[in-house]
Amino acid sequence: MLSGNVTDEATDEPLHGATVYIPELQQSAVTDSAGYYSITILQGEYLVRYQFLRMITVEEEIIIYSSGEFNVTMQEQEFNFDEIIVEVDRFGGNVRNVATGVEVVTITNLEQLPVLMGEVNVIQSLKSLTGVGSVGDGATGYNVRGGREDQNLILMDGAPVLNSTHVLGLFSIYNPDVTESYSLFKGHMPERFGGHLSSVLDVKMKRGSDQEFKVKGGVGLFAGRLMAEGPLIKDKTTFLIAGRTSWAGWILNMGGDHKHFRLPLNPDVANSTAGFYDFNVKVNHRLNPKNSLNLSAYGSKDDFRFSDNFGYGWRNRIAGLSWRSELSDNLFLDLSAGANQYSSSHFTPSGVDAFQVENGVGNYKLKTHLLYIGLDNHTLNAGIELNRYHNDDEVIKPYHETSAVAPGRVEKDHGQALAFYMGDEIDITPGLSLSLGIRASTFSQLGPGQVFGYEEGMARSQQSVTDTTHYTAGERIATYRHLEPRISTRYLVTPSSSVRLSYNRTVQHVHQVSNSATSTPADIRQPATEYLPPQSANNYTVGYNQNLMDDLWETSLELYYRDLDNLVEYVDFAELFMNEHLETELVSAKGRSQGAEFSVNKTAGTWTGYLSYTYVRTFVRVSGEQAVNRGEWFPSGYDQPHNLDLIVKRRLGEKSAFSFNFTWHTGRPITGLVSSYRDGTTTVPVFSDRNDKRIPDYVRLDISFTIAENIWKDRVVDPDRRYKDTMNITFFNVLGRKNAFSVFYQRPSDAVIPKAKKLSVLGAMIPSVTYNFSF
Amino acid sequence: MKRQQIQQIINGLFILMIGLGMTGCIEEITFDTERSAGQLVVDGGITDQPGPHKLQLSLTSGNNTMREPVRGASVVITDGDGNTEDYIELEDGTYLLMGETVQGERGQSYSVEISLPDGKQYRSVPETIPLAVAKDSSYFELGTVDERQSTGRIVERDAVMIYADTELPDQAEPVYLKWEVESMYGFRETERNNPFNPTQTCNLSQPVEPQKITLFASPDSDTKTIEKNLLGIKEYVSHEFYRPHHFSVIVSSITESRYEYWNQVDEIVNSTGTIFDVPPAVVKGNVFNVDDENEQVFGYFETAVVDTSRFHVLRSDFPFFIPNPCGLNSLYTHDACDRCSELEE
Repeated sequence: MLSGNVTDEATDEPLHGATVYIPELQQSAVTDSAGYYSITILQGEYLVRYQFLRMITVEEEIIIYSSGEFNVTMQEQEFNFDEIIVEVDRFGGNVRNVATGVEVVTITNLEQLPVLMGEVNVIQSLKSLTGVGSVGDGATGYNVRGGREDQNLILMDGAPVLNSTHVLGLFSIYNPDVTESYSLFKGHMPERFGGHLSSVLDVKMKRGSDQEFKVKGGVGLFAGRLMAEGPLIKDKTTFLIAGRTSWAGWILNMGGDHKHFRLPLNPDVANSTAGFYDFNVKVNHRLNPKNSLNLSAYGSKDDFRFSDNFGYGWRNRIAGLSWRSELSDNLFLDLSAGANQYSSSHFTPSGVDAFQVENGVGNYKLKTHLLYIGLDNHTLNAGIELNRYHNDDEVIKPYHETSAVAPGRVEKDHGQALAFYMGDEIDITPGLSLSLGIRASTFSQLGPGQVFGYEEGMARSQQSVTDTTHYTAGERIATYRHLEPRISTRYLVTPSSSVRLSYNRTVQHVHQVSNSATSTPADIRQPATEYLPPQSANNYTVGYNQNLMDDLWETSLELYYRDLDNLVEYVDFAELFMNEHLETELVSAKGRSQGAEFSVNKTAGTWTGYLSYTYVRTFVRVSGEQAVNRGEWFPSGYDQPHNLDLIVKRRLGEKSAFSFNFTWHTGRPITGLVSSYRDGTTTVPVFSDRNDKRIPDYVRLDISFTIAENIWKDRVVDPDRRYKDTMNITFFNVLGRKNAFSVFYQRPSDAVIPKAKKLSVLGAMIPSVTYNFSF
Repeated sequence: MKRQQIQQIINGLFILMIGLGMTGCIEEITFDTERSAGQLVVDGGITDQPGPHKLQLSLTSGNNTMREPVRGASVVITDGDGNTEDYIELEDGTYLLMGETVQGERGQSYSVEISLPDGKQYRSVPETIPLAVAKDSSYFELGTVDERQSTGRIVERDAVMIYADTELPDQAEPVYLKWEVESMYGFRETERNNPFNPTQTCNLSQPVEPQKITLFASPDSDTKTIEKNLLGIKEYVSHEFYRPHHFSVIVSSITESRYEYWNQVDEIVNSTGTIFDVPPAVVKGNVFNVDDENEQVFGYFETAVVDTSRFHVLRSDFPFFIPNPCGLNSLYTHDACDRCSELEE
């Protein structure tokens, strides 16, 4: 067995996720969080290739006589402008992954792909991957395998993220200059992650350079960003600080009654505002060669208002602190604390009942993770994770002085989740690997709060309340315990093909409750209660990977089935905001999701590309006293059967590129207006069964040019020049299609029944140009 | 890259962007309606007033406008004491309860059984005529309403504001109220002097703001009187107010479930039109298919106590002179002045 450690030469930090690859055997391994790798091979002479994001690839000729260690240090690549790698999974290549449900397609340079609003948007780019979709422009997240947005665990340096987007999805909260790497687990979820049903997006933020002071930035039509990094104490402490802001609102305002000139925007847009700012701070401190501290903080503020119709505001405050320690040669400790304080508001700014509702939720996390690599063919890990969920009171207030809305306040629920986990990744034979894990979680609804009792045998309603029980702060109100097995296995059929199977059970303790046709920044986070137990899912996946032409072409096919329990659905005419009897408006539902995902990836050459197609169906059933659609299975709000994405990139010279991206997916289900009848003098609209209709299909084509300095003939290229720049030009939604974000109903003043109105957030082609620089 | 080149690219893209109109937008969309046709609609009920009481049966149609009457149905009402009476089919889809055996009494429960010619049987959930009776005192005030024109300009229009002061019954049981306003006016067509098409006088009756649903529930309030409750606005139109214009305000004391029904109707009819609105759904009535509870049946068989108050508005009530809008020498003749009978239909 060949084993060893891979470290960063500059910082001496272990490199987690570096790939160790032996082309001759087409065999690979991936370093763990301690930078350790092991690979079982026969005696012989091999070329071993070590690869890592932004690092110069190391190739070593190694002669294997017996088991031994070989440590490698890697150097950072020379400046490669804003190259960001979305590594969906870096754990050993598409064929050799033990885990199922993990994309092996790597988009190696997002900036050369079409980018919305002129800026690399990781969340947007994830939607191109198989099994990852979205309900449309303006959605505040993404959907994995037909799951809801809130079923994705999103992390930023280990700290939980509750809203990963700015301006309703037009930007992501991840500043591209600050982001190191991404891992998306959408099938097999390692046991160290929990609390969400569908997927895990683990985002690592970049550390500041310990070599020299650097500045990076970019200026676009809609936003700008600036980042500075460097050493604070030589060989000890580094810093990174970055900020972004948008000026889309300023552009929109020019469509209104501007003093000097007026843009020809439509009145709705001219009366709209959109804007955000955010900042990142990161400090790394090396205590000694075996111990380091990492502090990361993020803050943001968003405002969005669509004409006089509606608006949102939201804030993210995220912080993470971690201590990494090499306790012995084989034992590594990662101790981390993370917090996210998320607050949101939504408002209707006009009319006699103009209102604003404010919500806030805090998620505080402590985690200890241990890794042990002292046993041959085993990689053991274990840990404890504590999550505390605290909801602020929900507050309603009049939006302006003449509004008739009365101020009010509703107390919200709180909870705490404690989880223990352990797992082992076992190399049984060179071709057969097994990953075994278990996660045991306990969730408690905590006081202070009051719990209403309802008459047995009756549907829960405010009329059927029988008693009220009051709980003091910290008192346990309801407790749930779950065991979550995580099993995955891989068998190499040939060096270039493999079969994988997995079974995962996942549990989610906090429900996200939406009152509108799509999730919004203002959705309610409802911890599990006596009436709304935690959601759970059983995930079954089988996958086959086949690489062709020496890995030039990668293909993947995965089939999966997921059954879900205790999903939260709303009853007809549910009033979700400012409701202290929220359990009367919500019911537990069963769900099922099944699908097939297929992808082809061309990884090298002048032309590269990625084609993915997903067929997925997702259904929900609500039976019992408050049955929906007569207790029959009906499509969930995220049931979009067909999803097709095509990304093609043509290199132009060494660093320039042309690319396009085409996306098509089925429109999401919605409750449609289908008829009407008269009751006395009133005309009553008739709506379809829930989610019986669909909004139009989503179709979008984007094109992009990335222009690097070497194509400008009149420029003298100086390789030693410190100042470097490039430009990205993108035409987003070239077809100008008005894809729907949401559908609502409004009765014109001259009509008796409402009309269905489709709201498109991006109703035309959006060109953008971004100038990027660094020095 | 030359600064000029960058500037040119940025300028070009900026102009292109605003030229194309960076537009979010709201557009109307429609859904297929094939599966929504042919469902039974029940519209009627019984009140504490002397009969006859009307019940209309129809089928929904997918095009939102047509109403397909149900002919040849058998409708029988049963009260809480077991008395029954058959409805008489009056005209297409309209059935009358003459009240010979079954009369509406406060505190008594009622249900109907409907047998369609195709054999399907329906029944309403028994509901009781409430004991409560609310007394209205209705009146009007002159005011203005804002009207947004197609150009976006807002114009003020004269209007009659219809109010009621309501005295709630002094009783322990919850009270649920719903108001409706009807108006009646007459006018004489412009003289034509045509013996083959003689000039007519019209008497027109129509609901005022039929989609405005005004409700009250005593459990949500601790008041004993409701004052200056705005029930509707009738915009001033010259030919409607040249002669006395009569208004009737009907307050119905309804059951709690009927109140919930109207509350839900109000939510879908008068939603504010934002993505925060309560998601729409089918409003469930109290009539069901005896053999198939999953069949959707629309409408409601209502049991109510009603009280009607009236007032009229004269042209002298307006602070301005109203000429005869259909007079031969009028400077401005309303287009209704030539189509009296058409409006009456």
